Amino acid sequence: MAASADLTQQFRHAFESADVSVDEVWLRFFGLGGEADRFELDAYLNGAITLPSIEHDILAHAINERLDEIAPPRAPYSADFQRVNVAGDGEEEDS
Amino acid sequence: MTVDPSPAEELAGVFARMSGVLLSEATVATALATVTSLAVDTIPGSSGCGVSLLDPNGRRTTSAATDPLVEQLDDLQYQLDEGPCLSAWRDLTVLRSGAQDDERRWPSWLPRAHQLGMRAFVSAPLINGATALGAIKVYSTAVEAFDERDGDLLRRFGEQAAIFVGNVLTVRAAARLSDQLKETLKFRDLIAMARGNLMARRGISADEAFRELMAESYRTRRLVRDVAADIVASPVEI
Repeated sequence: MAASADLTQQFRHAFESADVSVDEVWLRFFGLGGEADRFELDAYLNGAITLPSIEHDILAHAINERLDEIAPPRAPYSADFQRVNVAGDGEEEDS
Repeated sequence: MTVDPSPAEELAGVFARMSGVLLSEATVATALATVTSLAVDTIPGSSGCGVSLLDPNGRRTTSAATDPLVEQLDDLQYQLDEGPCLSAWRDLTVLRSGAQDDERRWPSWLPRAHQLGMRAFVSAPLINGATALGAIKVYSTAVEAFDERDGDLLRRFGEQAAIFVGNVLTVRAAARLSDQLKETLKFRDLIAMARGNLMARRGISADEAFRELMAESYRTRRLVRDVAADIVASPVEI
């Protein structure tokens, strides 16, 4: 059960890092097609109830999309530079 | 336009009439501009008025001023983190220039305010319930322009202004929430359509269809809604 506890903790940590309220994560969850209501989601996040695995996945994805939102920008690849140079009619310069 | 000093009920009446007009526009900046020009008309001896909304940390979020001088005086307060508006907001009290300890309270702001031509001021908090939304200040270029009655008038004015601005802030928050909800529903619909699309194409369940959207989202580093939009828009299998 140790691995399961680690994953639970990882889930909690991810939610905390997302730095959003339960209300906001519910709205994102709902936007992705989640069915649980706000109270159920709050209870789930506190470990008080269980939810079907699809609901868990929708919630996890809502959290992950938020984490991507606040993550530092990624380093562009050479292909990105090439794409910008081609598309810019010469007005763009690589940085 | 001059307006005689009014009892609190008349002030409330003025704001109520204004609310009908401005709540339809619901811009905080317009509301604050209205408050400042009304204050100059209401408080006798005022040369100008400035109002600022402050967040819980004392940082200015929006402000309005009737003229460049009051704008300078207020900007100075927030630059120096010192001044009667900040003090009025923090201490939830009305402050009037001319007290013995003015120089001690605002050692940086006061001399510079004098240099700019200000000679007298009254500051009041905009109290909404237990906290202050911000503060309002009227000033004068004449020494001892304001008496205790003016201080009391600005206090009551500040209370009405706080209700008015509070309403505008609420309407603005509600409008934002409504826009947010509309967008959320739009995406939820789109994702449901994409799931249905995948279920039909691949003969899979609704849950499996969602997991496919998730996997594609992860693989291409796109939002599920964008993956869904492509699926719904494309006539052939991706």
